[in-house]
Amino acid sequence: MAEFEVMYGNQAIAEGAIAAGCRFYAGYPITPSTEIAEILSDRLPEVGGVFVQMEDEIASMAAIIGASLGGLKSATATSGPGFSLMQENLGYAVGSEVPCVVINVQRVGPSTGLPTKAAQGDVMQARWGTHGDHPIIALSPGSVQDCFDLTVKAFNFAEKYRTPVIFLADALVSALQEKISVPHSSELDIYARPKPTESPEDYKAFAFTKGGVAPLATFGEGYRYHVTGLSHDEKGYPTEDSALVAQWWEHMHSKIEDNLDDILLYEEKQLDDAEIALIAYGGTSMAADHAVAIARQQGIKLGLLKLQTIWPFPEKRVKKLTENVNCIVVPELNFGQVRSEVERLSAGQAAVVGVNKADGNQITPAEILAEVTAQLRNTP
Amino acid sequence: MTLQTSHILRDYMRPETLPTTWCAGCGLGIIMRSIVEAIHYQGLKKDDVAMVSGIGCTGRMSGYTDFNSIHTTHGRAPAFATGLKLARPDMQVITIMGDGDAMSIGGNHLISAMRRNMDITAIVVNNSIYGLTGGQSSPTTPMDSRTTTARHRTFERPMNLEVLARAGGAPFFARATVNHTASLTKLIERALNISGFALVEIISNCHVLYGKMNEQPVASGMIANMDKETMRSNPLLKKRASYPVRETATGKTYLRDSNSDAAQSSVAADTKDRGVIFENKGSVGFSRRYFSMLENIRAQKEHAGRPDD
Ligand SMILES: Cc1ncc(C[n+]2csc(CCOP(=O)(O)OP(=O)(O)O)c2C)c(N)n1
Ligand code: SF4
Repeated sequence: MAEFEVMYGNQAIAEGAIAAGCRFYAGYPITPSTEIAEILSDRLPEVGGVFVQMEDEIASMAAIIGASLGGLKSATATSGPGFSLMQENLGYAVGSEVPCVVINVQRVGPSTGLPTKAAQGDVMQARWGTHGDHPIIALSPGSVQDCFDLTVKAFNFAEKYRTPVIFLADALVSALQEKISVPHSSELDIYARPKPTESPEDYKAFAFTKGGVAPLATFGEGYRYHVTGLSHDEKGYPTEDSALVAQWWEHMHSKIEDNLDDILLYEEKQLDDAEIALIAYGGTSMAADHAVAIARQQGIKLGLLKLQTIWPFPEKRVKKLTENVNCIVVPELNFGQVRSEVERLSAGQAAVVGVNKADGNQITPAEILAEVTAQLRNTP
Repeated sequence: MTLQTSHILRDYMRPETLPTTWCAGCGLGIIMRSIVEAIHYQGLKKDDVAMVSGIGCTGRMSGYTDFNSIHTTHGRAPAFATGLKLARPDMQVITIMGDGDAMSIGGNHLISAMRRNMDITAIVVNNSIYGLTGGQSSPTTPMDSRTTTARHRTFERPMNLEVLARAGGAPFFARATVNHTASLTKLIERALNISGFALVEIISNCHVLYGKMNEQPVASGMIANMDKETMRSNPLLKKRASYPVRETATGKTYLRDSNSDAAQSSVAADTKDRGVIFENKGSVGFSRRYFSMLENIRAQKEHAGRPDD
């Protein structure tokens, strides 16, 4: 049976990680993510796991890759400046297909910015921050419950698709206290890392499978393979053969693209009869949810698409929405990073407008409603 | 380069990755052989060894040897190795880095791994130059040298790894050159037995880049003159590096074929600390401390009768 507990977001992320089987954490302190490290420094040793405080975020990212190759589900947590430092080895994890979870509790940037204030300015950095045209998965929690549940999902996706998963939280949810339901371990759907079944001679750690991945052998268990950030063949040895590199790219994109049904998570509220819709994610989705409730009381047919998976972007669902409503309002704590995706998909079908802010304040339901009513006035 | 080498080395290579990308005469081949021989003599199983390298000519070594291997990003090998060692404390984790890799871009990782006393056998190949990228100045380029980024000769002071190792708190530091393979192998063997961070600096030759630009274009000459020439303009290196290894080079333990029985027993009999610049005998590495902490926590829990989660 699930138990109800009062937790704050960062705590729910830490507990979600433990529940998901995370047994290695490496990190460097930074507001507003630090509580995750503090809690895990206590909890991981209790469950036989490893916590290590590294010298910086470059090293933290490197250490979780090393630990993941050593067979442990691994994670790190950071915020803006640290996330920037992680980009180099984040790319390494993408390219060498090493599962890991990177939690970024976003704060206002650029640079040191507003360390204690919530923001959602790293959406595009999560997508394109490391160099090269790579696939990525990014999830964003819109409640404390999401902090727990989506953290578990993040580890599952990382292991299942052998990829880093970016967990884009923000200070709105990370510091929020809520009563959440914590499932018993028997109720949780946890993806255990599969072991290779073939002989070490036949094992291809980086098989160019279409739509899937090879099981990742744990270092020290008899499968001696090579891991590199260079373009490599299926055994992991560096190659400059463009035919092989092309096959690799196909594999890399297809392992995500062919599994969108599994990866794309979102919640819909009152969209069936909606004439105008909100697309929101992260902490801002709480205000959006509230705005829908108020609008409905006023007889406005407003609905909400709350994105939990941000990358890959739920293109089909959003495109469909642009066909069914007159207007989409995208509130976010940046100047339109998700809105630009929605605009691209709408291609003029529905009007797309933003409610934007990056001054450290949150977006209120009233501000969202003001934009909604302004748009209603505009529509004939 | 082609590898004309011991039977031991052959057993530890990945044939499909050969030939190496290294230039003929590069000291890296000698170093690879010494590392492999040290592992062999220590009776370590390939499955239990991880080789974690950075980026550079040196960094390529992890791909050629048949261990669990990670060719990481530039400078970051100690951080990758830290994660791996703590996930697999039973494994022997070796890092191999170039001088730019270890002392420039990876300086903080090296210092921090030393300070933490992480259980890593760290090998730094000091060839006085950035090899892979084509001969730019490195943190160990001797003063008054020519490089492709110092056409008018260098005036920055080279870094002394020994001083860094002392300050960082490494319990073991040794220095050797590729001119002294027998003692090199032995030093690595000793390093493999340290609990905690053991650092071995190996002075190597990059005759095609550093050598060509600094009047030492031939590998054999550069290696033979390693003590005199490579150190000439680097008094710090000369003072610390030349005496122990030169002694070995001219003494009875200088061996051409370390496979022969005579060589074996003579190496085994050599108990002098040649090349070992300092060693803290009581060192206890991070992983041993960490896992004994976990053991204590578990015992306390059992004592308190709490169920395990
Ligand atoms: C972040 C980053 N910066 C720069 C490089 C380019 N680069 C590759 S190897 C190298 C220097 C290698 O020199 P060293 O570490 O001394 O090793 P060597 O090649 O001499 O063995 C540089 C600058 C890189 N790969 N990554
Ligand atoms: S460039 Fe220098 S360091 Fe690199 S392989 Fe050639 S000789 Fe060796």
